[in-house]
Amino acid sequence: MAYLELDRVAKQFGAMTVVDGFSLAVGKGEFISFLGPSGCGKTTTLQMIAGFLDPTRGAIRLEGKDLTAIHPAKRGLGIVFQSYALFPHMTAAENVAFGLEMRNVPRSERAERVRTALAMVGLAGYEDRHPRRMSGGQQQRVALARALVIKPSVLLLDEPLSNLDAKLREEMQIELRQIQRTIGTTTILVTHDQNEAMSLSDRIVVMSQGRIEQIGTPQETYERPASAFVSQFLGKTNDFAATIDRTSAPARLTAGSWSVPAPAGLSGPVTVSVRPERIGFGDVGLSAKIVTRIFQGNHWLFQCDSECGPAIVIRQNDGQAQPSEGEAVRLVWRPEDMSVRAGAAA
Amino acid sequence: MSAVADTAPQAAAKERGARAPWAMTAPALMLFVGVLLIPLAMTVLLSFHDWGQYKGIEPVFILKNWHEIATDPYYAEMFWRTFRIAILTTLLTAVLGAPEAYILNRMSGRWKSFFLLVILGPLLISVVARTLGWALLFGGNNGLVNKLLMSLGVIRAPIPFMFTETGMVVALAHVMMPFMVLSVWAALQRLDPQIENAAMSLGAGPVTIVRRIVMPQIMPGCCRARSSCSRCRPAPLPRPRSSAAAGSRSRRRSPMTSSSTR
Repeated sequence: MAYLELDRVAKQFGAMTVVDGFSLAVGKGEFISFLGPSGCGKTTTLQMIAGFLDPTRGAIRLEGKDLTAIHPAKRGLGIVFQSYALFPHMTAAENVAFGLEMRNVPRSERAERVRTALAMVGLAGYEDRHPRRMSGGQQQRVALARALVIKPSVLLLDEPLSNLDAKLREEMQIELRQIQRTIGTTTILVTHDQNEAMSLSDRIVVMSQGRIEQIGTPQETYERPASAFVSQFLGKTNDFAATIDRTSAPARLTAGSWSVPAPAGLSGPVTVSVRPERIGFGDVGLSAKIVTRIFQGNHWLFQCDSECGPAIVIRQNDGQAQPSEGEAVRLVWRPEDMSVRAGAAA
Repeated sequence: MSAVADTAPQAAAKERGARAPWAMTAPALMLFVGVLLIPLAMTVLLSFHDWGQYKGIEPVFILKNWHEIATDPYYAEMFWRTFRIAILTTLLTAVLGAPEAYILNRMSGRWKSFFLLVILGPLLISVVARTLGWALLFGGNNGLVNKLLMSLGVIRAPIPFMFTETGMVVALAHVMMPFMVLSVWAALQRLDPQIENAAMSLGAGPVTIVRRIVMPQIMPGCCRARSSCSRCRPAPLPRPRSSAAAGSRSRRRSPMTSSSTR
C-alpha cells in the first residue's frame, strides 16, 4: 500500500480549475518532485497536502487515513517555504525548538534535539543567531532543521532553493539529497527548475495546466517524454515534422531528405523528437546549415537551419574539429535516440 | 604592489558608502534639529532664568523653577494625571486598534479600502467638529451614549462623561485610533504571509500563533503608534473640571510651563 496517496484530487477557485484529476501514490522514503511552469498547480497541490487549502474533489490519504479530515496543525508534516518563513523575533535555536514546544517535549530533550538538528544542517554554533543576521543559505538550513526536528511523516519543500544563487543552490541540492537519504523521510519537492527535479528526485511528476503530464524517474521523463510538453520542458529538444508511409513495404519514416525504416504502430504525420546532445554531424541525414556556433567551455552549441526547421546541436568539446558558421552539414542520430509521437510538430 | 594600489580606491569607496546614509538623512535631520532640538534646548535654558509679573524674564542662573516643580504637589498631580491619561488612552487604543488592524489586514481588496477610509475618517474632520460630535454624544444626562446605555438597561443612572477623565480617555482614544491602526497595519504588512502557515504546520493553534508569532512582530508598530499618540499631546493636562481653580494658580506658573501652553 502506498504511504501517501492522492486520489483524483481537484481544486477549483470559482470557475477556474487549478488542479484536476491528480492521482499519485508515494512510497515510504521516496523523494518526489512536482515539476512544472508557474501556474501549473504544483504549489496548490502541495498546499492541499499541507492542509492550507481544501481539495474541491478527491481524497488525500496518509497510511490509509484520510488526511483532509485532520487540521493542518495536527497533520505532523514538515514544511519548508519558499520565503523560509522563519520567525524573525526568535533565534535559530528558538525557531527550531518551536515545533517541539508545541508538542510539549521536555526542555532537556528539546535542547538536545535542537542541537542535533542544527548540527545536521551544518549550523552547529549558530544557535543564538537571529535570522536577519544570517545569509540566505543559512536561513534555508534553519528552515530545514525546523521542519525536520519534529520528525515529520512527510517533508514538503515549496521551491526551497529558488532564492539562492546558482553555486549555493547546487551545494544545497547535494546536501538536501544526503540528508533525505540519511533520515529517510518521505519528501515532496515543488520546483520549476528541471535540473533541481532531476538531480534530487526518485520520481518526477511533470505538471501542466493543473494536470499530470507524466510520472516517472528522471531518466524516464528525460529519455522517453510522454508528451510534447514534457520533452520541451525537460531540457532542450528538437522537434521535426515527419511522415510515416505504410503504403509501400517496408514502411518508412521520412523527414525531408532523411529517411529510416518506420517503427511499428503509427502512421501519417508524426513528430520526431531528438535531444540536441544526441545529434551528430555525418555524411547522410537531415541537411542543415550552421547559423551560429557558440563555445561554452566543455561543449559547443550549434544553432542550425535544417530543411525541417531550426535545430540545436550540442557537441562535447572532445578536441575534434567542429564545423564553422555557414557550413552545410548533415544531422544524424541513432534510431534509439529519437522518440516518435503521433501528430505534426507544433 | 598592485594589490596596495587596489586597496586605496576600495577603501575610499567604502568610506563613501559609509557616509551616504548620513548625507541622505541630513536634510530631515537638520529640520529635526532646527524645529525640535534647538527650541527644546532654549526652553531648558529658559527654565534656569527668573521671571516676575512686572520685571519679565531675567537672564540669571537660578534653580528656583526646578525646585518648585520638584516640591509643589500641584505639578506632581499634573504630571501624574498626564501620564495616567496617556497610559489609559494608549492601552485602550492598543486593545481596540491592534485587533482592528489584524481584521483589516485579512479583509479582501475592496472592503479593505472602504474600512481604511472609515478608520481614517476622524483625521479628515476638523477638530472642532469632532469635539462637538463627542459633546453631543456625551453631553449632560441626555447625551446619546447615556440614553442608549439606559435604554439597553446596562446602567440605571447616567454616567457623567463630560469634563471627566473617562470622557477624555474615550475621546482621545478615538482621535488616536487611526495612528494605532495604521502603524500596526504597516507592521502586519511586513509580516511574511507564510509565517502563520509555518507556525500552524509546526502544531500551533490560532491563539498561540497570535500570541507567540504575530504579536511580538507587531509590537514595534504598537510602540511607534504610542509615541505618535503622545507626540500629539505634549501639553501637561490640568484638572479638567476645576479649570477655574487651575486658572487662579496659573499666575504662579514658571516660564517653562506657561511657554508650553502658549
